[in-house]
Amino acid sequence: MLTQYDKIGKVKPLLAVAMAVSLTAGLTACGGNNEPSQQSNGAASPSASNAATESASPVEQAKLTVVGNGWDDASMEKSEADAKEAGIEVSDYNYLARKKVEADYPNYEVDWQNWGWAEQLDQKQRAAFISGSYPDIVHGETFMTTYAREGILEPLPQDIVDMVNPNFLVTNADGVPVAVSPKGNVFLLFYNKDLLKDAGIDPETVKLDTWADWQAASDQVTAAGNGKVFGGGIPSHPHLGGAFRVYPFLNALGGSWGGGDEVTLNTPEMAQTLEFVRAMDKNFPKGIGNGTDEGALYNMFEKDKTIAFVVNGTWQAAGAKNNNINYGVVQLPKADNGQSGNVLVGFDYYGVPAKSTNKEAAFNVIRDLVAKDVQIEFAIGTVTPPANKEALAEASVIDSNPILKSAIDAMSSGEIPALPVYDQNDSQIWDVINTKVIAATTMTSKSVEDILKIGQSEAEKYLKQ
Amino acid sequence: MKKLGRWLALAVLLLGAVVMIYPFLFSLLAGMTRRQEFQNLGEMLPLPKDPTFQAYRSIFTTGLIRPFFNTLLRSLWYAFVISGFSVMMGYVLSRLRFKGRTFFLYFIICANMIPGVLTLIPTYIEMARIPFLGGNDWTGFGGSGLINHPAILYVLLSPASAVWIFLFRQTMDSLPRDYEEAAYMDGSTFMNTIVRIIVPIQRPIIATIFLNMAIVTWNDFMTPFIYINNLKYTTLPGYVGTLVAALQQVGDRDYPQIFALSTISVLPPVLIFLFLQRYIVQGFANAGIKG
Amino acid sequence: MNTESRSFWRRHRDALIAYSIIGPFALWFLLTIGIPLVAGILLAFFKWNGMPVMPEWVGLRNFSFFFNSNEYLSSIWKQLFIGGLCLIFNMLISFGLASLFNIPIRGKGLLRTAYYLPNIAAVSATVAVVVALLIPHGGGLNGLLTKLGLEPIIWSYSAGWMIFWVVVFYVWRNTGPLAIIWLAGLQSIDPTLYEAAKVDGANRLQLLRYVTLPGLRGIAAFNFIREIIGVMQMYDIVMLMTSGGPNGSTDVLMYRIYRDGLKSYNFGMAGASSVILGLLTVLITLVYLRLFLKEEK
Repeated sequence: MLTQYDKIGKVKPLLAVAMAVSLTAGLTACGGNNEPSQQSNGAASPSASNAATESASPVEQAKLTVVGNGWDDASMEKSEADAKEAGIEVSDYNYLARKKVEADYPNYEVDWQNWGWAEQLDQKQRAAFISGSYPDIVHGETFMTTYAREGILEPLPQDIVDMVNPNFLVTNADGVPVAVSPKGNVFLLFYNKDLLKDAGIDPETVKLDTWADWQAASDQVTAAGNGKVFGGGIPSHPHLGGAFRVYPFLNALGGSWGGGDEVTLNTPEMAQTLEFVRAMDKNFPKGIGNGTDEGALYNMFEKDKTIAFVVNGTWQAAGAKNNNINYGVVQLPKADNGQSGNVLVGFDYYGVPAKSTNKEAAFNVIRDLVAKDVQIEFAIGTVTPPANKEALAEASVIDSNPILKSAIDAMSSGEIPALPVYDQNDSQIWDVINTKVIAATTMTSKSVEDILKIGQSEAEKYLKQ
Repeated sequence: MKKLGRWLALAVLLLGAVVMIYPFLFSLLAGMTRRQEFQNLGEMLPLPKDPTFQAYRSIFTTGLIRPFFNTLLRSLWYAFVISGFSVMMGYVLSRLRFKGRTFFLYFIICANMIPGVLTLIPTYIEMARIPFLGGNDWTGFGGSGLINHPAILYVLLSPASAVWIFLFRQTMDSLPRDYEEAAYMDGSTFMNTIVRIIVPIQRPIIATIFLNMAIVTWNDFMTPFIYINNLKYTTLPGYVGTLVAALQQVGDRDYPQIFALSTISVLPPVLIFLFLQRYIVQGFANAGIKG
Repeated sequence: MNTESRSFWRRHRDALIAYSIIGPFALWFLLTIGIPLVAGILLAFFKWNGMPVMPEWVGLRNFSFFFNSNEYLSSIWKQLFIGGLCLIFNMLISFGLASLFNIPIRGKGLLRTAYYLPNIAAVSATVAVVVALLIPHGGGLNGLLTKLGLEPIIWSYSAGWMIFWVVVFYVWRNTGPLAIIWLAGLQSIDPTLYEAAKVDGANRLQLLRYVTLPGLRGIAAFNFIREIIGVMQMYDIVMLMTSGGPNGSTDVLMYRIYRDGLKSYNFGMAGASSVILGLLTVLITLVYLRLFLKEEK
């Protein structure tokens, strides 16, 4: 036992040889290919692929790997089973799109993939890009913007761009649309009328125009709730779920996170926003507004009926309706300056990597994803604004639900920002913002000033590395 | 007094054993709850009021059988290959005299001590850029290499496997040469001797290596977690890993599904352990004493 | 000619057989461990995001960034601290268990099975139980606390509690096998030594100090080294249980390496951090062996 270790020294010469061998091996592996391939395919051939799709007929053969949300075999079965149990039709856009593609292009051999969501999805798609195995369709939320900037995505054919509302597009560094989301959303403020009534607030006349109005109402519910019922505030989850909820309020004050080669955390707007977030967090039970599991919060609103206010997208309406909540909904309250803010949320952008070998077929799948019939069925079934212009204007969609109407109104009321991306170490910087700035605001009692100072310097360091 | 001490020891051990078993029980039961029910349960033991086997059933209907067989095949592969290498190399290092023998011995001991951190990232890059495989050209670009490739489950080598070679050598050292010498006298070839003489004599230690490798491989969720993102090519623990990692991120959670999957994925190794633990535990203890 | 080659074969028979067996393994080792080992060290001196462009040589910049960033430095500390706690508790508890197992009790075999079982299950398949128990509202532990009339604890707010649970899980999973090794060691001590010491009038404590511990020296070294290597690269539990939270307080260096490398594709920083952590591990092992060998003399 002992002698094995005290003779380690003997191994040295051979180790040196091994190092030399693998050194050369490593160098040749690295130096093999130094062609900057990413830049060259920026605006490769939109017209060419366009022409090809026009001539494409349904009998065309193609083999595709497409990554999406609910269109893998397991999710398809689950959707069907769930819908059957609830006695409704499946209205998931991935589900509907796959059915349509299977009907429209019977000769496509499609590998329907589902790689999860958020960080996990980004990580897996990134791994696929880096390893060079590009799926024919990739999708996702914020990181699709990053892919677009890096020139990974092929420009969309003009006919797809023309089909949809521009708010549902992602553009690359040259401003060319490269990805489209079949759905999109903004945040609204939902409230449980019964809980307001219990707290002595008349839900029909309650004033929720400003931050102060909302705070007063929420405080009153929490006070009357006696530790059982809570008013609810602004979530500050230690992942993007928090950043999304905080951004509308920051946006109302005219603040931003920065983006590109700049990060702006230590600003008066940010401080004021976080102070408000911290004040409102008192209206959550501890650990709910800033837990990793967002589900717990919405569960309390929908199922337990113990939280009165939630900031959420229109999808909350479906949940509230399914659970028989007597709910109301308003646009987000305005800041003291009279401005309201919002953020583009709930998008699920689909794009085709420039390196895909089946671009025409892949765009055909995306065409079906934003096709009018699929979009109408989806919009009405899930109370979500669709991307398709004709579906957005369709009376049956707008009239199906007042919430859908107010979301569509909010979206068309001006330019709404999306979460920005940073040029370098984007995921670490968001890590800092999510965990050490936003979540730290509500989880610790450190002064907001200190939190922002530390967060700013750390994020800057990553950006400048 | 002595008797009291024994009872006390038994009580402590029993209490500990309950803690050890508890998570398995939790997992089994939680797999039978309904999603909504589990969210609000607040019980240490998630006893379902109205047990459902939906989560367990869905494992068998939604294509999770493939990962199951991937895990099985992978475990068998490493169990066979590593026990094969351990027997052959252990024998050679114990019995044959040749140049570099001492070096290899130290090499094997040191290999066991290489911190895996040093190879995690570069191995990933190497596997992605490996020439001629997975669509790569000779420079290692153009394709995906072995990322997301079913073969990745079978090509990597863990430095820790070296411990088994060392262990087998130690067992060989303590075995008298008489048996093999007699065989060699009778004209038996090298391979013949190993297969006919050594393997039967050393059956217990080979079982130890085989079973331990199989279980360690079954439980290695990191390799599929890092390298594979296709349900078809992943392993059960790898898939469970992705689901559990998602618990820390934005999105929906289906706890009963996760627990049902966990339960199914620990079942095979646990069953093997219950029936063959003699070999598994023995070898482990030996590794300590002889190492 | 024929006889010549035959005699060559005879003369070098052993070596040829040995090389033909060791060769394939050595090659496998070289390809999957040797090359990455060296490539990883090279990586530390480059800036590269994995795209097919030439990596950019940056010299020691990755290292200087490492040593000038509180975040990285504190990550080393967290790795050492959390790893150290895991190691110490695992060692103590498993040794205690082994001593209990060394007492003749009925049903020991069954109990031993129970203690070994956690190690038979994958980390990914068991860690979710802890995650579920720690849910602040509706989780098992807080349900229990409420029932006992206590205040529920928001586990995710407190670095101390999350570290506690990481350590608990680590010990839960690893203590059984370690106890088995200790036990084998305890049983390999010559019983006549105890008898002799007892004749000399040694009490229980003295028996432990002068007979048991010296007899376990080799085993202890084996266990320590195994554990040091294990905890210095432990990140799977942290990743699945806390993802570095709350507010980065369990963000061990190994988890950061994983994120730098496979999430941000900042291969240079991942390489530099790996080299530092790897060297530190080897250093700690060597220092331990040094102290240990010195005492031996």
